[in-house]
Amino acid sequence: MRRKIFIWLAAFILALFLLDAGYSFFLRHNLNIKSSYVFLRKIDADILILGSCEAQSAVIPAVMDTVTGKRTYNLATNHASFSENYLHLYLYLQNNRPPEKVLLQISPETCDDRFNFFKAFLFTQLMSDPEVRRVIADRDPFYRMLCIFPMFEYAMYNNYFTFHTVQGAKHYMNNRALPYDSTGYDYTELDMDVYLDKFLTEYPEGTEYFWDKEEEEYLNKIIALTRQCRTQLILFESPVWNGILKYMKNKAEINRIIAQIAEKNNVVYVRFEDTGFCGDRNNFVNYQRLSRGASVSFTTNLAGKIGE
Amino acid sequence: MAFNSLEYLCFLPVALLLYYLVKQERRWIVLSVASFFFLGYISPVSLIVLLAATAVNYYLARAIASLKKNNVPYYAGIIINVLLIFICKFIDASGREIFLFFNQQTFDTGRIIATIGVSFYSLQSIAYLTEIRQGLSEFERNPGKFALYLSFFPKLVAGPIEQPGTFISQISSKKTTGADDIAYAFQRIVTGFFKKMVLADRLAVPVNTVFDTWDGSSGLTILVAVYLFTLQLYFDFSAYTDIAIGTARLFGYNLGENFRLPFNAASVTDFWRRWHISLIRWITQYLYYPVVYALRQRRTTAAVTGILVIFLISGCWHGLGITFLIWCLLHALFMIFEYLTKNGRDCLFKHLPKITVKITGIVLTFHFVVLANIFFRAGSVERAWHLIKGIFSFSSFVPGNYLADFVAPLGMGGDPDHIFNLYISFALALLFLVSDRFLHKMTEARKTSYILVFVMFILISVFGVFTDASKFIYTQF
Repeated sequence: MRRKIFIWLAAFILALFLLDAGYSFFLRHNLNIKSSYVFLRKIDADILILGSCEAQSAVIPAVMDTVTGKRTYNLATNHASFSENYLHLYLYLQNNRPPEKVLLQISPETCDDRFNFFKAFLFTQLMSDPEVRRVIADRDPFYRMLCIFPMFEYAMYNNYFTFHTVQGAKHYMNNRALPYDSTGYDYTELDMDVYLDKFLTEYPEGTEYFWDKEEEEYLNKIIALTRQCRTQLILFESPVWNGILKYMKNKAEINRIIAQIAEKNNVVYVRFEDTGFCGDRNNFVNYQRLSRGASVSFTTNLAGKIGE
Repeated sequence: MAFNSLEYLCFLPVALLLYYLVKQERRWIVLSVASFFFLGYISPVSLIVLLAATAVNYYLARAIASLKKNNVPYYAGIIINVLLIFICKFIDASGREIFLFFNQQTFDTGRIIATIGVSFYSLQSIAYLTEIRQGLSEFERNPGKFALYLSFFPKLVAGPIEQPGTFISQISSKKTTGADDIAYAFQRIVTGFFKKMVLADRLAVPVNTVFDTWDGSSGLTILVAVYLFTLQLYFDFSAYTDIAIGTARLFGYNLGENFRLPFNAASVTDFWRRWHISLIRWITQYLYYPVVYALRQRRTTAAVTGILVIFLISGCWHGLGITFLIWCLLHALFMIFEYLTKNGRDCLFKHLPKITVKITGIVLTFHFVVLANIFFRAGSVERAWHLIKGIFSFSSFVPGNYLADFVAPLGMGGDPDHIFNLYISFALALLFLVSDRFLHKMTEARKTSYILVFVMFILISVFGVFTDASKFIYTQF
C-alpha cells in the first residue's frame, strides 16, 4: 500500500514537472503573446510604442510608418502599468537592437491599480530570466512565492495559460513566422454608452486617481534603460473625451507630476490638447479609447509631433 | 475559512497532527477545539451563538431525559431552535431589518453571514431533543461530546445533517484509521475539489452572467445557462459533501451521503430520495411522519398535507423569499400530482417497454428540476419571469449572432480564449456526468482508484479556478 502511494505520488510530481516544462515551452513559442514574440523573433523596429490599451488601439503602426518613414511596433498591452511596460521593453532589448524612439503613453489611470496593474502571468514563461523574476517578485510577491511549486504558476491563471499553451503548440508545430498582427496593433470595437454607464455608476461623483510611488520607480527605470541604449524616450498623453473631464478630479495634478518627471529627466512630454477633437464623442469608443477613424487622425498628429 | 481556501489547507494538516498526537480517549477534545477554532476564525459571532445554542440545548436535553412526562422542555427546545434559525438567518447584519415573507431573496453567495451553520446545527439539535424524548437516543452526559456533535467542523457549515444516534456513538467508540481509509478519504477530498474548482466554479461564469446581468433575448442562451445552473448547483453542493465526508474520514468519522445520482431520478419523488438526502430525511422523520400520523384516518389528505408541509418548510429553510416559495411549491405540486396519479400512470406504462418509461421519466424529471431551479437562482420573480419568457419566446430563441448572443454572454467575452474556455467547461461537465455513475459505484464500494485521483489532480492543475473562486453555494443557507 505504502509503495503504491509512493509510486503514484512520484508519478504526480513528475507529471507536474513535465506539464510545467510543456507549458513554458509552448507559451514561449506563442507569437500572439507580446512578451514571447519580442523575445523570440527579431523585430528591430525604429519606433516602439509602450502604454496601456489606449496606446494599443490609438497608435496605428502602419500610419506611423507612412508619416515617419520608419518601422513601428506597438508593444502596448491592455491595462499595463509602468512595471509591465518596463519588463516588455527590457525583454524587447534582449533580442532586438535598440529603437530610435520609444513612445510611452501616460494617462491619469496609468499608476492607479484600479485601472492598470502589473500582470505577472504575461511573463511567467520567461521566468528563467533573472530580471523577469526580480520584477515579478517585486510587483507580485505572493505569486512569485507560489511559483516555486512546479506547474502552480500556470495553475493559478490556467484560464489564460491553457488556451495560450495550446495556441503556442499550434504555432510551434506549424512553424508560424508572425503573430496575428505583426505590428502589435490591437483594436476592439466598444460601446461608449456601456463604458460611460459603468464609470458613472461606479463613480457618480467622479474619482481621484492614485499615483503609485512604486510604479513611478519603474517609470524611472524605463527612462534609465532608454538612456542606456541611447534611445529617445517621448512621453505622450492619450486623448480623453471632454465630457468625462469633470469626473477626473485630479487629472491636472497627475499631469503636473508627469511633467515634472519629464522635465527633471529631460524627456519630451507631448500633450494632446486638441479640444475640438476631444469634444467630439464620435471620436471615442469609450471615454479614453479612440475609434478607428480617430486613431488614424491621432497617429498622424502624434507622428508629426515626434518628428518636430 | 472555506474548504477551497489556503487557510483550510494549512488548518487541516495541523488539526490532523494534533489529533493523532493525543491518546484516543482525548481526541474528541482536540476535535472540538479545532471545530471551535474553525468557526471562530470565520466568524467570532457565529462561535458565540453556537456555544450559547449548545449550552441551551444541552440543558434542555437533560431536562427532557430526567422529566420524562413533562413536555415543556421539549417544546421550549423546538421553539428556541426555530427562533434561532429565524432570527439569525433573516435579520440582517444591522439587526434592524427583517426580511418579511414576500420580500425577494437575493441569491448572493458573497453575502457575509453573521451566524454560520445555524440552519444545520439547529436542525440537529431538534433531532437530538426529539430522539431523547422518544427514547431513541440516550442523553449524552458529557457536554463536550454533545458540543462536538453540533460543531464538528467538516459538517458544520453546510451539512450533511447527521442523526444524533449515528454520530454521537462514534465520538466514544474506538476508531481505527488505516491506510485504506486515508486513501479513500483523500480520494473523496480530491473529488470534491475537482467538482468545485474544475466544474462548479467554471460553470458559475456563464450562469452568473445570464442570471444576474445579461439583458439579451436569445432563448437558447438562457436555456443553456439554466441547464448549467442545475449542474453547477449539483457539482458545488456535492463537492462540499465529498470534502466533508473525506475530511471526517481522516479523523475516523463516517458521515452520511447527501447525493445518490440525482439526475438518474425517473420522477420528482425519486429525485428527492437522491438530492440533499440528509435534509429530506430530517424533514421526513420529524415533520412528514408526524403530520401523516396525525391525519392517518384520511390517507390521501395526510399524504398531500405532508408533502405540502415538507416543501414549505424546506423552502423557508432555504430562504424567506417569494422565489424560494415558488420553487418549493412547484416541487410540492408535482409530487402531489405524482402521488395522486401513481396508479393511473402504472396502468398506462405497463404496456410500454420499461426502458422507454425510465428514460422518459429521467428526461422529464430533469427538465422539471431545471425549470424550478430558475426560481431558486433568480434574484427576483421579475428576473425569473424574464428568463422563462426568453426560453419560450420562439421568435428569438435562436441567437441572431452566434458570437455576440451566445458565446459572449456565456463565456464572458467573444475572444478565442473565451470560446475555448467555454467549450472546455461544457466538455468537462458532460464528461463528469457520464462518469458519475462509475464514481458513485466507487463511493458505495469505498474503493480507491489511484488513476482517478491522479487524473483529477492533473485536471485541477490545468483547468481549476484558483483565483476569484466563489464560496460554496449552500454555505449561504
